[in-house]
This record gives sequence, structure tokens and C-alpha cells, in this order.
Amino acid sequence: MIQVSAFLPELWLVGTAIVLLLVDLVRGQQQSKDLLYWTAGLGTLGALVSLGCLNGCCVFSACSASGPAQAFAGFLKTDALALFFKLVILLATLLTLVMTFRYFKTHGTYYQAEFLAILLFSAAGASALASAQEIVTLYISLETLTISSYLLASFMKKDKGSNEAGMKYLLLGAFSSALLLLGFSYLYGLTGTTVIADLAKGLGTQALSPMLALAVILVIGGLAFKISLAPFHMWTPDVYEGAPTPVTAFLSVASKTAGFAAFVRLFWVGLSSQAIASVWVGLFAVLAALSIILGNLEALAQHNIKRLMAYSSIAQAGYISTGFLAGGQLGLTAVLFYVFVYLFANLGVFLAIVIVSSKTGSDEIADYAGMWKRSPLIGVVLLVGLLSLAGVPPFAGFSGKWYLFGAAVQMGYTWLALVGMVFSVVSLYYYLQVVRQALVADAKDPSPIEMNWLEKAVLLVCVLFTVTLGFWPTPIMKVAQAAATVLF
Amino acid sequence: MIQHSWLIPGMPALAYAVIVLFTRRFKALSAGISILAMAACFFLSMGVFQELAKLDPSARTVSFSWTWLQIPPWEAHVGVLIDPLCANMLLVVTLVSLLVQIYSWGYMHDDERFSVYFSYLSLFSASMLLLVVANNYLQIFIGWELVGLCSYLLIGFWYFKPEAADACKKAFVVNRIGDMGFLMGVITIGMMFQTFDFAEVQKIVTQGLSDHTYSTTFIAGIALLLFCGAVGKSAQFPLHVWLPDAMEGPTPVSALIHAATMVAAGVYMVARTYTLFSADPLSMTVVAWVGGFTALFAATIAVAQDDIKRILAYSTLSQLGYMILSLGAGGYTAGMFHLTTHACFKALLFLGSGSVIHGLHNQDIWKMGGLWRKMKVTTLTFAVATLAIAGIPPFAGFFSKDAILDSVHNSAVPGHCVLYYMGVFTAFLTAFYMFRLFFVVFTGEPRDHHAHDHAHESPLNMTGPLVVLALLSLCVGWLNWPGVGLYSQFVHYGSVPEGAASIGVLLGQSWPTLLLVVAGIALSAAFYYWKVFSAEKMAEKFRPVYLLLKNKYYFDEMYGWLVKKVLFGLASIFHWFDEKIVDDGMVDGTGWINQKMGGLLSLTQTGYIQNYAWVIFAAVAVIFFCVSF
Repeated sequence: MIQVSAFLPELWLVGTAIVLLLVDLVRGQQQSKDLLYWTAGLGTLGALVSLGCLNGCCVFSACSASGPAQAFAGFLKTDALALFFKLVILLATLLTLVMTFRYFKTHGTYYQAEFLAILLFSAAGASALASAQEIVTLYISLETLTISSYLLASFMKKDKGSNEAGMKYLLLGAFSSALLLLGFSYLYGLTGTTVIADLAKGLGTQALSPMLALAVILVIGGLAFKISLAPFHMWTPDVYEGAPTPVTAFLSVASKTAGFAAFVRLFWVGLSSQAIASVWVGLFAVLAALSIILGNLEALAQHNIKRLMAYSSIAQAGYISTGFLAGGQLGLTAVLFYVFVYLFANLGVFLAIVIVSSKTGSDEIADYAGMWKRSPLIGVVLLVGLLSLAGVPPFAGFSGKWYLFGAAVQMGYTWLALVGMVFSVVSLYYYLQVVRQALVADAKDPSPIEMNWLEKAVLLVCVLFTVTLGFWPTPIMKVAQAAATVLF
Repeated sequence: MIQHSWLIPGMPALAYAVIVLFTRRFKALSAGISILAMAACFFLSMGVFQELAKLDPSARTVSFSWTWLQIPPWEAHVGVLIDPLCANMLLVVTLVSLLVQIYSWGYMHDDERFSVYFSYLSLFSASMLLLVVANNYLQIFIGWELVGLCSYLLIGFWYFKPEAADACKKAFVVNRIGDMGFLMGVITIGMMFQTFDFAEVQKIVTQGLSDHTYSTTFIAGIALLLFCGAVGKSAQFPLHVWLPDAMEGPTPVSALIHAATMVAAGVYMVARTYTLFSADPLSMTVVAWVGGFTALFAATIAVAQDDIKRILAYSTLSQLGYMILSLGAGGYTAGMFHLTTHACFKALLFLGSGSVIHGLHNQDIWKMGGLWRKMKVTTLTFAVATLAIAGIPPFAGFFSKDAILDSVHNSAVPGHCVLYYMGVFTAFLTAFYMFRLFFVVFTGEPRDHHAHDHAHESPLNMTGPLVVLALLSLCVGWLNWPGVGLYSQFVHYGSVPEGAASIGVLLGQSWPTLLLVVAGIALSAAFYYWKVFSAEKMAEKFRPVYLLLKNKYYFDEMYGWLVKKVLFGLASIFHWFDEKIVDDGMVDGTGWINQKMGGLLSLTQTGYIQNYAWVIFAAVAVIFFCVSF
């Protein structure tokens, strides 16, 4: 039986995207673009509301009363874990829309409706990925996400950087997809099934054969590319720098979250047997450590803020992997909580970047001098967001990292937690460089930076969440715990 | 009411936020919000008290909490614990806060940072009430540190005066020493008992003591660590040095924070964690002796001081010593009762002195005199407070001080006889120095005619609180009327209330003390009112003693020497090590290496996708090789 509610959010997103294209077609180009943004925003909000109704606070009759909704022979199952990932992805999409509006005001393009539609398609792919229970479904969702992302990254046709970013992302993405597919095909060959839960049964308790090892490593390689885990991270700085900034923001949160959703399902359900897990968990620990070290060290040498955020996001992927490989109720809760916290801190900073660059036309850190005086709110957002990313108390990033590293220590990965802590200190240097410019240095051009009410509200919400969750993480922790009990 | 008691710390916190964020530009509005929040708190506390009093005596403990942080395996909570002890403290804090805030409107009306002042007062009230309603050690510690912060901010409110700036730093640093012990105690509790909750800790400790899981010495150790905090905050010997200097703050602040409420937090905390303290005679003995010694020690200093606020500050030290002594001697009810009465008359004394300072712009008692002609209300209310602190019946201080001396007399603490006589002698000294202050300031002829001519009675919003407090200073003691003992029925440790002696027994016991107190007043009158003896000649005759007292036993100098010579000497060694080895070598070196590595690693980022693809392929190959072979 197909329960429509299992893919209700995706339906909202895809439906809105099609409506957008139609509206644009009918209205032509002469009118203002506001309508398009409101449509896209409302569509995403609708998807968010449908999440709430899937979660049990039922308003519509389509909701299922008993158990998580599923469709297509159970290939899509929207359980509490999927709902949490979808929540993060949809919130990220919503924030990206706010950035996009600002971005295209200065970098005007003819094809805004198309951009928004592709963004929503991409979000739909990411959202579907979170509930995929089968590897072909998972792969298709992933490709919906990434192929749309290629388009988004290269969207500024007349901009060399954007073209370069899109091309690099496409070629390397295709390469990594090939690895992933090859890995999947081996898994299918070994077990005769594509359903993730049956993979575990098919593999049983058998030890790791070289064939299986190859399959697992290929899958890790393919997926690690999406979350930019070292050494599969090298595309990240080039693409993040060249892509339109809202796309960079979207990639750094929504795409990464979707990648972790895939990792969690595939590895902690399909490949969770003792013999296999002992190998990939160890491997992951090495990759996580490598990401933390490389990401943080290379970030030290950056002077472009988008590139800096790219390296920072590599390090962040390493931190999140720390909780992921620890696994268990504790580890998964930590991952979910951190992703939620990362969403607000990172996207708050990215919105600030978009707003600043739309005024100054520059992404150089040196041009952030005196930002505090030009817009106090942006100063606060940079301070709170970046310090939270660095994991400074009392901001949410601190409690998030506390849980991540705590989980790692409990699972015996004390050394990894130590690496994480030591390099968090290193990260403080480059995050504070930006903060120092914004708060301490004198502005070359003291003209104030204007924002509309929505941007102000969104920035305030980001700050509010980042501060409050640091003091009082319990509400989100409770939701994350409930989501984590799906697997553990 | 009780289920809404979380609003009691909540409302001043909200008032603080509103003032800081929105109304800072509007003086009257800011003060109004602050006072309104405090009034609401007061009425809510009354409601809580009333509801609690209606309950059956055995059911007078209501507690609820929310999860604040989850750090497996344990959780931190914020909560509210309402019991008679807490309800008593809530009434004291909210009432004194309310009166002081109303008074401040008059006292501070010319100040430029009027709104900031009121925001600090609100923050203080919120923190203090958070501490009072706390149901666990972590929360009480948080409130504890927050009141410390407010105290720092308010002592240094006139930061442009170097004395104020120094005093606030001194208060903060001295308090840190005590708080360090407190923090260690709290951490020990968390580690040993896996919980911070008062009730649970009490259960575990009682259980552990009865089946000998924990030795009483171990519990005494924890209690003494906690007591370090009380010594700092309640300014007991040897950490008493910060409180007299704290008088650099605005006088209403001295009344609220450094006399009536915050400094009593140490006493409250000891009462709150009394299970730990009463587990072993060792901790009780230390507490009693520290308190008893401070009471006497501070009273002797107060005899030779010239600054009106400093005299009151030393008298605060001395009275806090009484409370601590009482708790140590087992007089739980007596100690808390003295805290309550003391809050009334000491707030009154400080606000009265504030009224004098407001009229004269001077704090030296030798420049005052004959003020009763100019300031009738202030004089009258000050007289009431002086009688109350001296312990003349039927004023409040008599009942509470007598209860303390009685509990010390009947105590099992080693040396309780000595402590009793120390307490009695302190009562004599208290009467002497308080009446010295009163006679010199309010009676006789004006000494500084210029100042005297300009002296005036304070406005109604200042004298109003004085009158209210004067009535309280008269009546609060009656709550524990001999033979009836409403108060001891309400606030007591364990299930059996400490009985209240009948009036005959009471007078039978207390007549020697009373006689000494009257003698103290008479002596003081002989020196400073009738002037039959000359104080100057006495000071000349016993010059070394006089100098010793006047210079507060040279404790500030001694600590100054310790810090300057010993601590700074050690520090300079560490400084050299830090500068040369840690900073130049390790820190800069690490930074340099990281910078260079970052630069070098960035070179791997060639921008050529063929390189990137090659890395991906190589990584897969290498990993496969490592895993398989």
C-alpha cells in the first residue's frame, strides 16, 4: 500500500517547483520577482508543516495513525529519524531562499524561477534520501540532490568562477557516484538484495572478505565525497568559493546533512554486524581525524571567507563523523543535535556573508573590517555563529561538541576526541580572525548596511537558537533522542 | 501560588532584561519596572508563605524541577524547593529589596546611570532569589556566583572613584577564594553521590551514615568545603576583609546586599545543607568557633572606627558571626531567626545612615552631631534600630540574640562555655559601639556648622521605607514570643521544633546579658553623651590597643604584604617561565608550525580536477590495501 504521507514533504517541494515554473512561464519576465520567492517559501513551509503532521500532531486525514508512514513496498519509510533529518534539510532550504533573494538582487539573473525550482528539486532529493530504506531509492534521491546541485553551482553563466565550480563539481561528483554505484553493485552481488535492512541479514555474521571490504570502501569513498570528508574533500574549497553563495550555504548544510542521513541508514542498519562494523568504524575514525586536522590547518591560510567556510565545513564534517562512528543512542543523538546546531550557526554566518558581499561586492576577510559599526546585528551574528562553530561556551556549538566527543570517549575513541579538542583550539584562530576584523578593526567605508525585516528576523532567530541551545539544549536533545531510538 | 513560585526569580530577571534592552533611556520607567517586579515578587512570596503555612507541618516541603542539561549518565536540573526555610528567606529578600528599591529612587535620583543602577538591582534580586529557591547544589552555586557578580558591579557602581574600583576588585577576589572551596564541595557531591539534588543528597547521606558507607569525617570534609563559600560570602574571619571596603558602593546597595540579604546567603546555605554539617561534631565545632570568633573580633574593631558606614559594616560582620555561631552550636532556628530580625534592623541602620549621608554629604561621624533637630524621622527610626541591635526588649534583636546565646549555652560543641561568654561580651560591645554611633551623630552640638546648616530631612520615598523597617524592627521579634514561639514552630531542622522558653525562664536566663547591655549603653552615654569621661584621653592612655583596633588588627596590611611579597614573588617566577618558555617557545612555536603547515597543505589544493580525482582513487586503493592485507 502506498501512503502518500510517506513522501508528503517531497510532494510539496516538487509541486511547488512545478508551480514556480508554470507561474514564471505565464507571467513572463516583466514583473517583480517577489511572488516567486513567496511561492517557494510557502511551499517549503508547507513541507515543514507536513513534517509536523507526520510527527503525530495530525491535522490532515492523510496522516497515518499507527507507526511511521511508508510507501513503495517500504522503500520509503518516514520514521522519527527521517523526520529529524528532513527538518534540518527543510529549514536549511528556507534559509537558503532568504539568501537567494538577497543574492539575486545584486547578481541579477534572468532565470530566477528556474533557480528556485532547481533548489526545491534538490531539497526534495535530500529530503527523500532521509527516508530511503533501499539502496536504489537512496541512490536516486542522492542523484536528484547532486545533479540539481551541479546546476545550482554553475548557475551564474557569465561568471567564470561559477562555471569552474560547476564543472569541477560535476566531473568529480560523477567520478564519486561511479565509485558509489560500483560499491552498491558489489553489495547487491554479495547479498542478493537492495533493501538495507536485508543487507544485514544477507551478510549475517560473516567476516570481512576482500570483496566485501572493497564494496564497503567504495561506498564510503562515494558518500564521503558528499559530506566532504578528507581525503575525499578536495573539491570543496574550489566549489564553495566559486558557486553562488546561497548554493554554498545549501551545500554546506542541506547536502551534508543528507549525506549523513545516508551514512547512518546504510552503515548502522545495513553494515552494522560486529565483524564489518569493527573495520569501518576504525576507518572512519582515521578519516574523521584527517578531516579535522586538514580542514582546520588549511583554513589557517585563507583570506577569502567562502574558502575559509569551506575548510571549516570539512573540519565540521570530521566532528560530526566522530559522533557517527561512536554510534549507539548517545552517538546518534549527538550527531542529530550537532547537525541542528550547525544549521543555525553556519547559515546565520552565510546569510551575513551574502548580505555583506551584496553591499561590498567582496568576500575577502579584510573587507569585514569594522562590520560591527556598519551593522551591529551582523557583528553579533558573526561573533555568535563563528564562536559556536569553534565550540566556545556558552554557545550551542560547545554543548554539541561536548556530546559528540563524549560519545566518542565512551566508545573508546578518546584519542579522536582529543584530536577534535586540540584542533578546535586551532580553529579558534581563524574564526577569531574574522571576528577580530568585524569587531575590532576600523571600517574603511563606514556606510551602514541595510537589511529588510525578514533578513533581520532570520539573523536574530539564528543568534537566538545558537545562544539558547547552548544554555538549554534539553528540548532539542529530547527530540534527537527520540529520533535516535529508531535505530538504537 | 506555590506552583508559580518559579516566577519569583523570573520576574526580576525579566525586569533586568527589559531595562537593559529597551527602557534604559527612560529613568522613571526603568525604576518603575524594577520596583513593580519586586512588589509582585513580594506579594507572590506572601502568597507562597500563606499557602505553605496552611499545609500540615510534615508536608511543608514542595519541590519541582525541570531538566536543564543532560550529560549522561547524570542530568542537571533547575528547580524550586519551597519549605519554611525558603519561604522565610523569600519574604526577607523580597521585602528588603522592595523597600531598598523604593528608597533608592530618592537616594539615587541625581545619578546619571539611574537606569543601569536599577537594572543591576533587578539582576541582583533575580540571582539572590534563584539561590534561595534552589533545590540543588548546582543551582545554588550558579545563584551564588551571580550575586557575587552583582555585588562586584554595585560596589564598583561609581567606578570613577579609585576607592570604589579597588573595593569591587577586592570583594571579587576575596570571594573567589571562598567560592573555590564551595565549588570543590559541589563537585565532590556530584562525583560521590551522582546527584546535586538537596533531598536526594540528604537521603544518600543519611542512608550512607547509618550503614557506614560514608564516614562522618568524609561528610564533615564536604561540609567544610562548602563552608569555605559561606566564610567568603558572609565575610567571616579570615575572609572578612572585603566587606568593610564594600561600603564604597551606594548606601542602599550596602543595605540590601552587604547587610540584609547577600551576605546572609552564607548563613542560608549552611542552614540549607545542614544535614552535611550536623553529621559530624568536627564541622559543627569549626563553624561555631569561626562564627563566635568573628562576632567578637569584628565588634572590637567597630569600637574604634570613625566612618558611619564602616562601623555598621563591622557590626554586620559581628552579627553574621552570631548567626554562624548559632548554626554551629545547633541553634538552627535561632540562627535563621536572627538572620530575619537582623535583615530588618540592619537594613534600617544602613538606610538611616544613607539618609544622614544624603543630608550631609559626609560619612565621618566626627563631622556630624545634633542631627536630631534637623532629621526627626531619621533619628527616631535609627534609635529604634539601635535599640534592636543592642538587644533591648521588646525590640526584635533581643529575642533573636537571646535565642542564640541560649542555644550556645545548651550546645554540645567543645568549648561552648567560652563561646557563650564571647557571645555575651560581644553583646556588651555591640551596645557600646552602636550607642557611641548614635550619640555622636544625632545628639549634642553640631561639630561642622556649615554642613549642619545644609542638612535636611530626606524625601518621603526615603523616610517611608525607614518607618516600615522601624515598625518591623520593633515587631518581628514578637513572632517568637516566649512560650508561644510561632517562628520556631515554623522554621526548624528535623521533625521536632525547638521549644520556645516561657517568659519567666527567658528573663531568668537573660538578665546577666541584659545587664551588660545596659551597662554598655550607660558607658557609651558616659563617654559620648554626658562626656564624664573623655574618649580622647582613653585612646591616648591605651594608645597601642586603640591603634590596633583602629587599624583593624592590621589585617589588610598583612594580606597586602602576603600578596605583594609572597604571591607576586612566586608569580614573577611563573611569569618568567610563561613569557620565555611557554609564550615564546611553545605558543608562538605551535602557532608558527600550524601556520606553515596550513600554508604547505594549501598547496595540495592545485585546482586541477585530475589531481583531485587521482587523490580519490589513490585513497580508495590505499585503504583497500590496508584493510585487506
